[in-house]
Amino acid sequence: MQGEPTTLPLTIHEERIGDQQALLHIQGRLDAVTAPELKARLKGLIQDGCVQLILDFGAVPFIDSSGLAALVSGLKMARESGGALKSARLTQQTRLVFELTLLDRIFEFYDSVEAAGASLKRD
Amino acid sequence: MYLEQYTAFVILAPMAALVTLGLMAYVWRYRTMPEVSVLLWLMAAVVGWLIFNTFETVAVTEAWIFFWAKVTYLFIVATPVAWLLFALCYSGRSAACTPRRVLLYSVIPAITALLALTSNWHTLLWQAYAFVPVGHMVAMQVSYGPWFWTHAIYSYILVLTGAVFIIRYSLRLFNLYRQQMVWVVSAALLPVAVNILYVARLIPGLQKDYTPISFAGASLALAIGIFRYRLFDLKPIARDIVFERMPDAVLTVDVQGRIVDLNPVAQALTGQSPGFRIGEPVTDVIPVWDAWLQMLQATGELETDFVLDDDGHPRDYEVQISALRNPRRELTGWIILLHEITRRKQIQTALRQYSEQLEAMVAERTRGLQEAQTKLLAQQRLQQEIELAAQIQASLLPDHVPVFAGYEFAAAAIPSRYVSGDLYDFIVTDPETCHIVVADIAGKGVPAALLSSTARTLIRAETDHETSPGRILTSVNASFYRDLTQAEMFITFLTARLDTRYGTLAYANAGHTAALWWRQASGDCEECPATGLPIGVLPDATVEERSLVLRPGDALIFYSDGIPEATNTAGEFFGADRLSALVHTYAHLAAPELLQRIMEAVESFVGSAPRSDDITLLVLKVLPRTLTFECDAALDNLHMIIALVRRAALAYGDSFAYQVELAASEIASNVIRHAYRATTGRIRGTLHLLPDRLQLDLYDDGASFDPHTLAPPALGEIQEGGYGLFIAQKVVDELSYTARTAQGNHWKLVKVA
Repeated sequence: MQGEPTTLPLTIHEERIGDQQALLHIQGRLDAVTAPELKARLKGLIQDGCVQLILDFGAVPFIDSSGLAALVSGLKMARESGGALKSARLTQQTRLVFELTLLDRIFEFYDSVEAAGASLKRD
Repeated sequence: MYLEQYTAFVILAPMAALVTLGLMAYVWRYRTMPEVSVLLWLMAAVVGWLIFNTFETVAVTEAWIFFWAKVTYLFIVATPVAWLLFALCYSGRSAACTPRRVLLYSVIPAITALLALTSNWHTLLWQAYAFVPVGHMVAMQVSYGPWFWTHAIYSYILVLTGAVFIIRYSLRLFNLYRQQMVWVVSAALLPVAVNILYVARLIPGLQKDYTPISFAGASLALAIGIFRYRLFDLKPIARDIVFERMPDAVLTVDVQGRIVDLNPVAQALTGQSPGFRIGEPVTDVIPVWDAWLQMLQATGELETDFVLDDDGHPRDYEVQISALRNPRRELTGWIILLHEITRRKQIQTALRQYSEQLEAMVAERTRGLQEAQTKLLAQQRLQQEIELAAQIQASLLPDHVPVFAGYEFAAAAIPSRYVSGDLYDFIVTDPETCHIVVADIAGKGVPAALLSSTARTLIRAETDHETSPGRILTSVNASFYRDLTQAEMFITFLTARLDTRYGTLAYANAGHTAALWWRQASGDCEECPATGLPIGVLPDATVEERSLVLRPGDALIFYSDGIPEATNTAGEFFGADRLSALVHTYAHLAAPELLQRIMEAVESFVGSAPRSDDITLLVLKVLPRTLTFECDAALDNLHMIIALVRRAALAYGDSFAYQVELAASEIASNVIRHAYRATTGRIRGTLHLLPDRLQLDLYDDGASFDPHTLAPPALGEIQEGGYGLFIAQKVVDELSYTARTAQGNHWKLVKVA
């Protein structure tokens, strides 16, 4: 299995909108390898008081139960901190784990980052 | 005086009869000649007349005298008829001597003879007669009845007519045959004269009729004339027949150069005046006569050629001139024979021209044959070279198909000529990668074959350092464009890279016939159409690349346009539809069998029609296969494992692949995080790719666990963990765990396509 790329990296591009709001462009797979990194990042933001989070999944090709767990953790923390976590641009495939676990009822999905931002203002 | 007349007659008549009889004996051998046979009849009549007149003269009783007089009359009446017939034959009027005519001429004489025999009872012939003693003899003196004069006049008419014919005919020839003519004309005149003297009593006291003796004399003269003075051993009569009927022109010319005789052909010889005419100088028509004459006087004979102008049409004659001499060997004239040889000349000329043409033709053909032979030799050499080229080309084609587990190849190439413009190749660049190349040079025969060799070299060189089919073809186009443009050719090229591990096929198609992708799942053929222009059309053309993932059960058919364009005797194309139908029917067969069915179908379709194009056919069959992997059970290797599974599963579709990926990710993560929680170890995997399903077996040597101990997650609630196995179970058809098998703890995932 030489020549195969070992670990695909996860990159998170963060846009801060004021003190309490952040837009995270996530790029990479969300699985057992990368989930801890995402979970830590979300935790850090929330602890910083940035509790209004928009996650852009446009560049996320894969989410498994580990990735799902990190997101659930982030959602819980944000809500517990009086904030919210909005998910934008999930594909049909990456939604699969949400649907199978019925967590699609708890997570809020938006087709675009803008729609997700607009929903934050309404709250 | 009377007595002397009678005595003289009695002496002369038997003598004349004897002479005539002798003459008859002499000419007897010539009796087959018509005029001689008639002459014999004349002489017989004359002899009869002489003999019975003598009997009459010497008879002593009145009864005998009367009897012999009657008998004599039978011959008297016959003589003028015989004379006329002779004259007709002699003067070339034998046509007037038919038996019918002879009967007609004989009507009056026959009546006369009858009257003579019956004169005891009538006076029509003899009105009165008296027997007068003449010495010791008795003479019968008669006065004539009316019929006598009738007969006499008739006889004179016959005799005179004959004489006129003979004399007129003779006078024509008089200059040439003078001696002969003197005899003949005398003979003609003698009986007439004598008879007139007697009948008209012109000689006083002439009591005895000497006419029979004069006829005997005439016969003698005729015989002398005919047989003594012969012209070229021919009597004039025979000469005349020959002369008149000769197909050649005959002229007789006297020593003065005047034309004295000519035959009808000579008369008709010239269409324009002056023609040959009797009495005119021969130089009027033959200006060179004087020159000929000089030669003739030396040799006496001349043979030459002469061209006569006939109303502007030159006529060629062969001229023969002979001297005419009288019995004393004196020159009397010339006989000229003109034998027309215009036709012969024309034939000769035509023959000569034909012969020249023939020679030219032979020369040309010889040259042609030599050229053809040279060409043939060159062709044979070329043929040998072509056969050699074909051998080389055949040796350049893969002599075997590549062997990869899970794949089956078959290939066939049939050149329409010895060498082919088609090309195919398998290029194995690493143990898991095979490039498949098919190309068709637009053109056939040697030039196409040469280019196909170059194309093969180029594609091999490119494939050595480039993996992307699109870039390979783009590069081939860039480096081959110039040569192809110069050769005014282009190449359609399809190159595909098969990743045997994952079953992915990347291809680039530069204007080649679309390859067929038989997809077992859908039961349909998809095309791999052209993704760019043929090589050699544009200098900087790029060829796009596409890829597909092959699933076990699938087949790929690469072919040259020789298959769809194969033409049967009715002029119909085999067509791409027939090909897909065949693939549809026989896709379940192994690659060589599938290929064979297609080739047979094309072959039987074409039948006896000529093979118009090279045919190349490649079949790739995708078989069930197994992928194995093994690595340290570490999260660092998770992506690698998942990527492998995902890529292999893509053949079954994106959604399928995602779900397998998801399940594999959950299970592998589980193994890494839980089985090897505290330790490190290996994780081994086997991926079975089957036409209708995918099976993943994962083995580990870590701690085993009882999956039933895991509580199902509380769905719909915010729960951070415990979803993994649940999710995996949801997305595959079978998920089982067997702890501690011979190969370790065994996770088995099966997903049905």
